[in-house]
Amino acid sequence: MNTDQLRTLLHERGDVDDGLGPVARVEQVHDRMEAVRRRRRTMATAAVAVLVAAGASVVPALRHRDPGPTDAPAELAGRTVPKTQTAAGYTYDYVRGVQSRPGADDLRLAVTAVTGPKLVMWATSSDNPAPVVRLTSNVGPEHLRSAAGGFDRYMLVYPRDTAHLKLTQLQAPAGNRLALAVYELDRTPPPGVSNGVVTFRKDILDDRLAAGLIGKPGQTDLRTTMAAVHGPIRYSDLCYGAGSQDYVHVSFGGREVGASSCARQPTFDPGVDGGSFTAAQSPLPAQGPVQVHVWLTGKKSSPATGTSQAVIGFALYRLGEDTFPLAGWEIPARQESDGHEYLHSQSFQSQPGQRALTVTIPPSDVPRLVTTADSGHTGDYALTELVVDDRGAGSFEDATGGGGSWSSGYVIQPGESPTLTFRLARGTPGRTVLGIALSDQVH
Amino acid sequence: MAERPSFDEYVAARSGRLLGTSYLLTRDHGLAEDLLQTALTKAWSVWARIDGDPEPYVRKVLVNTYTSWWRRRWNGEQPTGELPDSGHGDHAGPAAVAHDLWLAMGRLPRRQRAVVVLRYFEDLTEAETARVLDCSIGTVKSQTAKAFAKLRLDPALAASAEAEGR
Repeated sequence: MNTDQLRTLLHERGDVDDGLGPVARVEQVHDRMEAVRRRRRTMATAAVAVLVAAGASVVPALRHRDPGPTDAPAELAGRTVPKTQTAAGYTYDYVRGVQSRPGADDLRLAVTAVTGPKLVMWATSSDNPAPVVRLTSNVGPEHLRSAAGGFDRYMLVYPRDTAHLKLTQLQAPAGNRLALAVYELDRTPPPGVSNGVVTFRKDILDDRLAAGLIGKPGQTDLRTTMAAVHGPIRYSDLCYGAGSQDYVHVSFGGREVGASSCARQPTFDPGVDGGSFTAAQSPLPAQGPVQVHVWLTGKKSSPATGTSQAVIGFALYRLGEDTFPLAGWEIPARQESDGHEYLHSQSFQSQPGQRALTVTIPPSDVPRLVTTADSGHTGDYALTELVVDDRGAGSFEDATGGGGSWSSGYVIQPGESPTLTFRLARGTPGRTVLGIALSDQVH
Repeated sequence: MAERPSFDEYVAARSGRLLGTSYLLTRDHGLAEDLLQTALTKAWSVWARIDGDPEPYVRKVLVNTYTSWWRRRWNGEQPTGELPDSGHGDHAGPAAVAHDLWLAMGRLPRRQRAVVVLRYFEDLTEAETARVLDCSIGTVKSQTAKAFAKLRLDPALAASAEAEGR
């Protein structure tokens, strides 16, 4: 074996048939950004957060349907079916349900969320003893585990996802029945700034909307004024319907705070993503009124390519003051993830200079969201990873090297006792501090 | 400074070659496509910040993603302790040597495989390879040497060499 043989082999084998083609590949990359949006939500590093949000705005339009409570059955598996359910500020209406025959091991259902998000709730017929069930799906969390009997828990199916669900009985009395109920988004948007297609919610947990604006289709330059806002803030931009190489820019008081890529389709719940700033970092002038400018360009500030149907906008939130410290960051005590609300309950932190933090979590009766944070690296690049029982649960790339805080999206299910490892996979540790926080699901 | 192409232009022009690199790293067509799309997705989210030629950045993301990707994503790739049946009766022919070399490549550790692909498929210099892998030139040299040593000692290639010598 010599280098010529090796080179020849690599060129022969590397000449693969590109069956997908560039157009389809670009489409699939855009689709993948939806998953990125769920997994990477920067809460503290402004520059990185803006860029993550830039790639996150690829969720299709909401097409609100008329509520259909009249077709809700009174019961499924002997349980009363809720006609509506709220999740993360939005209301969903029951549209259909299925139930198993008594004693069936499992119940399967395919849920296609083409135009808007959906909720799925589940139930079992027996209360005593409380059955343990597991809901597995090909989207979102790999599985949800529940010991509740009624329609108490739900799972969010994002737009454009098709969820293949399987509800399985792990521990249940003989003759137990299983049921699944599907809910669609109600057409009435929650309070906030809305154009009927997308909404910047007035309240996102403890964060309060201070200012927001959504232009009409084709408006590529928006200007408004707002009162000065003091303290930590988050701003979200909005751009859809423009060209794929167009960017939306936002400035406060003449200071541009970021430019984000435009999405092809409207973003569901755009206010949850965006760049956060501490009070010291805030780009807002100390005195009001503050001039806000939102505008659309092509790449390198050239004219935008897709302007006729472009919709741009922005929202600025005053962040809630209820936070807890984690690895040098202030993390909101209340968080949203996949349509659920969580409240901080427990934190772990490494000694400075350690590359990994490992903790074994005792079981609990409620689902718990895992948040990680890191700081103190040297260098301009860091890659951190969350590993759960030797399996990857998320990785966080930080192009500034300064660290960040991240909602992993990973949820420890009731009754589970995993070992969590948060580690610096790439980057120079320096005085690295790593943190893991757990938050209990409260809705 | 050269102007950065649009993302769509870049994908149209370069994704075929990058798919080749992905395939050589993963040795699986489905995983190669998955790896390439993951790398392009990461690049797309920071496209506005890339000045000039995006190729080094995309290549770096692709290789780093490959070397650090989660084990569960790669469970289709099972290194085998025993040699699979090569299907060749004649171990001395060029096709048989190439086949055995391909099998041996599959048993290289990921980082060594990445060095080999970058050096001999992407034709990067040692310095360029070091920049992609975030390591020193010395590390590239040592990883290359280790890869070649491992390939030469691989039972499949040893059998080929033995047959050639007969």
